[in-house]
Amino acid sequence: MIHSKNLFLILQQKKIHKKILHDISCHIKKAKITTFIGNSGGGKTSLLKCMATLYKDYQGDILVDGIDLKILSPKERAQLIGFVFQQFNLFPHMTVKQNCMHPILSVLNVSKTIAEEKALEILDMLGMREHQNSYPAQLSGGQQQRVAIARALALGPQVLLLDEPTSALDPQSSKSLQDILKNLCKTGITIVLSSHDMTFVRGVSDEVYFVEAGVIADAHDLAQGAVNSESKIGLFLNHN
Amino acid sequence: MQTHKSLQLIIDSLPLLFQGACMTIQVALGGIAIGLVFGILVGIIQSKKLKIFGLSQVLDFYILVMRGTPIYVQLLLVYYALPDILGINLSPFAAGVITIGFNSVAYIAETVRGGMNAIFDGQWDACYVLGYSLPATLYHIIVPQVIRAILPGLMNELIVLVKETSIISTIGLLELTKIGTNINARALDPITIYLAIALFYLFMTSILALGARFLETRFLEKGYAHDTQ
Repeated sequence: MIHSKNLFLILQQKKIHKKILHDISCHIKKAKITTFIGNSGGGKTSLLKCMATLYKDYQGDILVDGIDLKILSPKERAQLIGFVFQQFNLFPHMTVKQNCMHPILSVLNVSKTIAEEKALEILDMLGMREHQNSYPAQLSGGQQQRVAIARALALGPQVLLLDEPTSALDPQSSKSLQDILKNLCKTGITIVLSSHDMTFVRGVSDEVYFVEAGVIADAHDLAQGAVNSESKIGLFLNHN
Repeated sequence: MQTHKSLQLIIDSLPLLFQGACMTIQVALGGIAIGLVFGILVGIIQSKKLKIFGLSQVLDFYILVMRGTPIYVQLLLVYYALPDILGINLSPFAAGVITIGFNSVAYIAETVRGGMNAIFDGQWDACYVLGYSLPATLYHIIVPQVIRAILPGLMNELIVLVKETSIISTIGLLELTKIGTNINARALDPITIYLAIALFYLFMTSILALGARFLETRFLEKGYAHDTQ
């Protein structure tokens, strides 16, 4: 589904060029949940941002079903990849329903009735329909997370990227998010996320990549069996 | 006796004072229109996300000049010097509107620029991943949030603008202050006349202040002000 080939990312920070990602190559399978783990500053979020082309100046290729993301129009890209930010980034001046409806209206140019139906259908799926008229500031972290997922799904993407999705969630909301992501996966959506929450990672992931200092230091397909406790992923999972 | 005389003077002067107030409102509305349209535009262009090298320096210089020189001097330049330079004659009304409007552009632009720069980068990123065009991002997402955030400062600027219209009395436009001065020249009762004028200005600026308070309350009701992003 997603092929990253020889990905390099160098960012300029205060006139200093800093290597963020170094020769990252990986293959993310369709309709699976793939997780990037690793210490802070390792490059997990940067990798997700490259996949969403929020960082465009990377070298190498990121292909989704063979299509280079850089050649897609904003509309095509938004219909292919959805992104849920660590801080959600909901639009604070819009209600929950408007947050989900507005991208549909603005990007897909459909009628208001169709956009509203679609938005409510997604909110229903995520258990947020009753909060449709609330503003983001009136919701808890877990509820904002669900709205952020609903908004990311509004344009019907095939891939959903989530950056540290459990960082603002209590254990119960975190468990509930696991169920939501697994259900989305069953509908054919490919999910890629970064996380520090190892309980969550163990519960949700099909495949895990360990990112360290901008390189993929280890990878493990959980369907192939238990993680070797001496491997980098095994050590990280057991110590966090 | 004095009170009765003062009251009678105000009643007799009311038609003229209303006429002056109407002229003041016209100048203020013209100035507000120029100030808001160009001020918001310049403020957006000058924000850190949208700065254009070259144009940005020109606009910086414009803002420096407008904020760094007295509005009275600007008015004299527009009314007396501009006709010599461009070969066009401006009426006191046109000169007043242009001066007041383009002076406020500098202040409104700086207020808007501050508001734009205060918007969390994540809002821009969210628009990008959702496939919004730049005009849609600005119109639907960024500018509405900026306006809410800068509303008190913006309304402050508009209130100052209304009061600054009194300076146009110096080039002979029959606005509220000039009419008051003319009435006082005949009646020789400065306390009564200038207090009456002050009340007129207070009434006009109070409407703006109340409007601002109403809008702020609306935004608070929507829970926007509690957002922590």
